[in-house]
Amino acid sequence: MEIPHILKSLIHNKAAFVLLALQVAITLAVLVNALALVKRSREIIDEPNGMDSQNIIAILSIPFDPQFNEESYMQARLREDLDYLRHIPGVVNATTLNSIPGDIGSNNGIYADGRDSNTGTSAGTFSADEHTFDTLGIEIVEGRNFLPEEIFYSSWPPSDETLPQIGVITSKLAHHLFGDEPAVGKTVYAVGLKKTIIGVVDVFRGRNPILGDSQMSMFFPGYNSGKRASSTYLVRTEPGLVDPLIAEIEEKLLALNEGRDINQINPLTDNLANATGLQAYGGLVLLCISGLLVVTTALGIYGMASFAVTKRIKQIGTRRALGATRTAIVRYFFLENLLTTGTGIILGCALAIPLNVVMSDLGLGRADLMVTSWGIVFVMLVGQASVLIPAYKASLVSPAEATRCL
Amino acid sequence: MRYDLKLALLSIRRNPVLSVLIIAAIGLGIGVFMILLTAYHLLERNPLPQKSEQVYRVLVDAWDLNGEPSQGVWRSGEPPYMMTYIDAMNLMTSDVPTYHAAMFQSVMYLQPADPHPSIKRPFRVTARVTFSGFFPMFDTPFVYGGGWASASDEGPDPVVVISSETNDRLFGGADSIGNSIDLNGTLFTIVGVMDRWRPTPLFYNFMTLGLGVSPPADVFIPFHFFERMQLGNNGADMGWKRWDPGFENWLQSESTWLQFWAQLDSNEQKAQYLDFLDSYATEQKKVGRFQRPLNNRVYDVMTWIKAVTYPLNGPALVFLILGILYLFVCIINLVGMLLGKFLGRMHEVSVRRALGAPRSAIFRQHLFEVALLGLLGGLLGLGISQLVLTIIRARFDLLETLFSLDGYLLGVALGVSLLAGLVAGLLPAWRACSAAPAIYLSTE
Repeated sequence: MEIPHILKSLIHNKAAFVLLALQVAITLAVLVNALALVKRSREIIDEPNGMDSQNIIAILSIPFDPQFNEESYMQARLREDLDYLRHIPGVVNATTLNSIPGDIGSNNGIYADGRDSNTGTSAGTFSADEHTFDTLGIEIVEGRNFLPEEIFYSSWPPSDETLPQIGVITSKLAHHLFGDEPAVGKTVYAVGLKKTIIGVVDVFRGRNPILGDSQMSMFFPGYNSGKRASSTYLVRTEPGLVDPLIAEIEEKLLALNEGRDINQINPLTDNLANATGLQAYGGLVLLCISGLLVVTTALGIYGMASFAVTKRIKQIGTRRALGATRTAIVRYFFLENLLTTGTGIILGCALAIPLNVVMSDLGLGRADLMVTSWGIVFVMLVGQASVLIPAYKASLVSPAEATRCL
Repeated sequence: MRYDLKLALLSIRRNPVLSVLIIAAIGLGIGVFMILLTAYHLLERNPLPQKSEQVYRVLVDAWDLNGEPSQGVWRSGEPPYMMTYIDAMNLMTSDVPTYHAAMFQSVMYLQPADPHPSIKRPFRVTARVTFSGFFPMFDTPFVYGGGWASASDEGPDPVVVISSETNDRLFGGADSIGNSIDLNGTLFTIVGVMDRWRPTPLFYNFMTLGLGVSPPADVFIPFHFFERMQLGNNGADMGWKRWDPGFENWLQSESTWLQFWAQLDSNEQKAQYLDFLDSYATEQKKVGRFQRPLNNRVYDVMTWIKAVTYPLNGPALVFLILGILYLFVCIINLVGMLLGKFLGRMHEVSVRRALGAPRSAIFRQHLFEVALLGLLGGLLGLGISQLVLTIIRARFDLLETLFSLDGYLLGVALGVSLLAGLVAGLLPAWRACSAAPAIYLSTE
């Protein structure tokens, strides 16, 4: 029954109404998009990476002693490090790869049959030994693991024709190359050579997403030991031992060989978090902006409502004098705000769509119904909360004000 | 004018809470806008303003006939962004460019040659392995000495140029010319100490990520040490053709991994150099190496930066639009606050009007006040944006020049805040001067 009156008053105060509605509209549009972006980056971060990453330590050892130029010396040191790492109490397994999962590592074209075909794709490429899959905690779902006798010292990329021409691929890559057919036993062309697939592993999100689909990877057997190559080790520990073991391992590795630097030793989760960092920071910036927008808009609503109350003291007094209850006065302001924010929300939805089209074109996340509804509810609540104090103040206006001259 | 200023100051002081809110509203709007504008502006920065149009990235198309280098920021139709060792060494024989240099980045370990009070273990440094042309071509500043002579490009002297940071760390900033440092077990003699040099973005070292936000190298050594010491490449390496394992085979392979830059001062020189590149490519086609149609290019610095940063344009633009929207909301908010502020003192305005002040004087008085508020808000906004950017820089260990304030950004900040204040003040000021004074006087 009050709505027609409110509408009349809103039309009378066009400027304030339009300004507030616009403000709410922009706030909602940005908020919805920010939520969509944050949701998207959370999804990327929370996607299972397939690895037992909570219990893995990543180590990067860079040699500088000229002795490392001797391949035999380099290989002996690699063997020494691995032996030490595998025998630490609390360590489940240890391996060496050409690059740490999540880092920007190697990337190669993998083709199902011949280079010219359209069946190829680019994929992350890793060197691996017979301990690699156990260390990563990824499961072989088809075929078999590498055997110790298939692992040789080689430089990277694995283009040496004299080595075993075999490889293990992720199930996503297998599906991309061969559809539903079994991949084991098929050949692919990679690094210029024909390689036979001997195994398929389950989800492994080890490729940096900047390079492409993080689940597309291929493993080649071998120890990456070119001249003065840096060595990358992964150590899988029993649950909860990552942090206590890091300092111990660093000290021991340096004592084992002083001619190198332990450039990096940290939980593998650090590398994986860095890989998705860009999206996360984008989301954070957007969230900060929308947080500021919400606060600014709330202040704006509060300011306008306070102003309206001051301006209408005599009116309110008159209404009270004519028998309106305090609740009725409060209800009036809440309803008025509901109409303004409601208009803003409708405008905001219209504005959010083009903004979201641009964002999803850039791969920054799509706003769905869920995110939009949460945004609407939130903005609605903020609007109502912002008029709380002015409405309460209005309800305190004494009916005697009606008789007073302003 | 002075009377307007006096009235404005009086009005700002009379209602301090509201004035602070108004200044904060403009300040926050400008602050957020400036942060996002600075990030956007980053993509348009010229790291070599004095000669960016004479310095060129050189690209020759040595790629596979049947494929394309489809990685990173590379775009279809362009030659590969890096160069093979064979091509880089062949191009270095040209005498057309004023200066030219092939280059790459390596990781080395530095140890002081003499016992050092605090440095006991070798520490990691980034090394730019390049030619003598690097220094004059990029106008690198020096505190002591200079780049090595072109004779040292042939060897055998182990000479090194170090950055001022490295010099501070090793020699406390003293003149270290003639001293030696140990790099991966070889003693190098210092011939130059660079002054602080911060080309932003680091245009010559763009890799797959596209945004060069790291400082230039810690040490610079002649290219021939790459072969002698068999240094590794700490950058992207893209190839299409298999090669047999081994360092020598890698050198002779079709892997692209070197950056090549040349200085061409005039259009004739540029045309002459392009002719040279085409005849080189034709020759390589004859011997069966190059297979694709002639597609050699030289990109000046800004063209090159645009070519490798384009994936960032979209996100940067989205954020800039958000900044503008936020500023807009702040302005809308401001209109509301100013309406309240001005209407709240209609009585005073009415007295002025009744005493004979024309509407234009009232209008001017109010606009003057909002302009002042706008500028104050703009200053606050600049402060906020600089504070936030400093925190971001420190948090992510970025270059201090990365988000630095230049004349352009300063001008934009103050201009936009003044404009924001005036736009927001227009309606309230108009309302204030157009109201009939009698209403407000009579109610008293």
